[in-house]
Amino acid sequence: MLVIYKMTKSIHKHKGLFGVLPALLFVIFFFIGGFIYSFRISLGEYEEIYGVNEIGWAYKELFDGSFLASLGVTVGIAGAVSLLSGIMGLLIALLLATYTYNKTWTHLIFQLPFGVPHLLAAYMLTQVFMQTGWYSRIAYHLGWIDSFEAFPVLIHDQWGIGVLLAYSWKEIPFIVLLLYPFVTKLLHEWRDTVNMLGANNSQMIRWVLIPILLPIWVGGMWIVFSFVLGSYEIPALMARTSFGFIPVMAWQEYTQFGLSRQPLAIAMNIVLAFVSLLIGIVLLACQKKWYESGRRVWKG
Amino acid sequence: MERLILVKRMLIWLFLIGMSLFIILPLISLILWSFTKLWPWPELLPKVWSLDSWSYLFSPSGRAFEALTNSMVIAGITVLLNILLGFPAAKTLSQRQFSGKGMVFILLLSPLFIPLTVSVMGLHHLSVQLGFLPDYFSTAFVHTLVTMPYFITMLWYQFNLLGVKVQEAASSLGASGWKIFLWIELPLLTPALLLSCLLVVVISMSQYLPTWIMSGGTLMTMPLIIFPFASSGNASIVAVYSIWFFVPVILLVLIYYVLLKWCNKKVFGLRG
Repeated sequence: MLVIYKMTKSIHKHKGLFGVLPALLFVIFFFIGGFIYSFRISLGEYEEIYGVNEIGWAYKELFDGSFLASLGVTVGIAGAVSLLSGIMGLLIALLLATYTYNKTWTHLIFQLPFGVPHLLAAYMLTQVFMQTGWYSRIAYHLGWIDSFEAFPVLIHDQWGIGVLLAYSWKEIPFIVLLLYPFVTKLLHEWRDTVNMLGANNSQMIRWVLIPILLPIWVGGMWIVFSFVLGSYEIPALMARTSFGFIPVMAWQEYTQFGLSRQPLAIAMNIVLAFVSLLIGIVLLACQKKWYESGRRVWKG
Repeated sequence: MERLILVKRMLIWLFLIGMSLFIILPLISLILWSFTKLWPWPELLPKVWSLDSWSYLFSPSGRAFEALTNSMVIAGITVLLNILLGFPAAKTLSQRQFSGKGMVFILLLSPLFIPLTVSVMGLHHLSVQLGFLPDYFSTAFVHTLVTMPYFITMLWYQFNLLGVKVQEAASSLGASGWKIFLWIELPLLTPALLLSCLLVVVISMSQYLPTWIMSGGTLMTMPLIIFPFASSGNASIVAVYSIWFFVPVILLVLIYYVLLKWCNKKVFGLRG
């Protein structure tokens, strides 16, 4: 009897926690469960579907070929996109909060890309930035160029500039949207204190805003990074095939060469997921350190 | 000194205007493309206008309404799942303290930080083997996985802003948990809830790869119809489909503002 009493009491005490359970089970079942299932496929299980092969063949094949170079390019572009959109996003959020806080239309402009899928962003930026695109026509009418060959190659180009532009179009507004509420709040709360202590604007940004914003800012950049790492539409439409973006390569393997090649596609994506996870763990460790040292600064 | 400040201001405005143009101009080019089939270089504006692409969109082979219905059905199921699963989770995370809370939070947000193509591929094989779920539901499950982190974070933040003071007051006056939820929390959170749902619908409608994988490329939502045209470079057709995609989004935003206004009047008008 006592055991039952204790159990009901404990259930009653933690009753409120049941709210989090359905969502948690959903994520564990679908996200982690799906991941484990994929991992088993990539190792070579389910031979009746994917054909008989030695265990781990997909990974052996990956690390034999030019996969590492592709991994470098993919991670490099993802890193460049996240840094660029992080810095530009913070800058724009600061400028909007300082200069245009009473002009709603400027904020609306930076909210527009949120309703546009990556697929359409890729297509639209191709249409304006390509050599016969709209910007090249404008340059022609302004007299800057006299034939479309004179316009720089920005789409399907050597350096992936088109991909970078398209991602910026989508991700800079995302960072702005993420940071803006916090920036206005901080400016509002700290302006008087900072002015009283005699600091100027740049000092305020360096010593007040950035330290407080850092976790959200870096978190936002991490979201962008892992998104770019796994997304397909923009590189598929705007990059040269010779670039070897891993999501594009994996998608070709997944759809074009039959079931027996699908474990390889899954293996590629698993490597990407691990890169993202690894960087996440490093960031979380840094954040912990930052918080610890930050607290010491406040106390001292 | 005066002059320096003026130059600085001008530079800042130039930068902001430049960024705004970077965002807006592609959209204008899109609208122009939808009304022409032929627009050779170096014409700044098309000389020959035509509505051919629009008539293709609404012809039987254009499948405009089928695509829209599919997208909306999936987005609707996704929103429902988000409310059922995400709302109580956000409330609990904001109002309760328990051990392992940080871990639970990280786990719930993990689909944001780790590319989920892997999980989706695994889930597709699982759903093929189980074979009883219609594509609508399996796709909506994956869309829920994509959108729930945003949904939970936004509502969690709003619950934090709300605090627990008002609820404690109500509780000390004898209100039960359900009454507090129904008469205090829900009305105060409706604006945030509406915004989160809008966000979920928009994100769900833009998904390409997860939809493709889960349905094996057979469930024709808007992005799945658009992609082949975009990769074959049919500018005018893609422009028309894109605008067709924006129609429900703009309508939903308008509905959101109307509901928001109504809600503010109803909730905050009564209080004031």
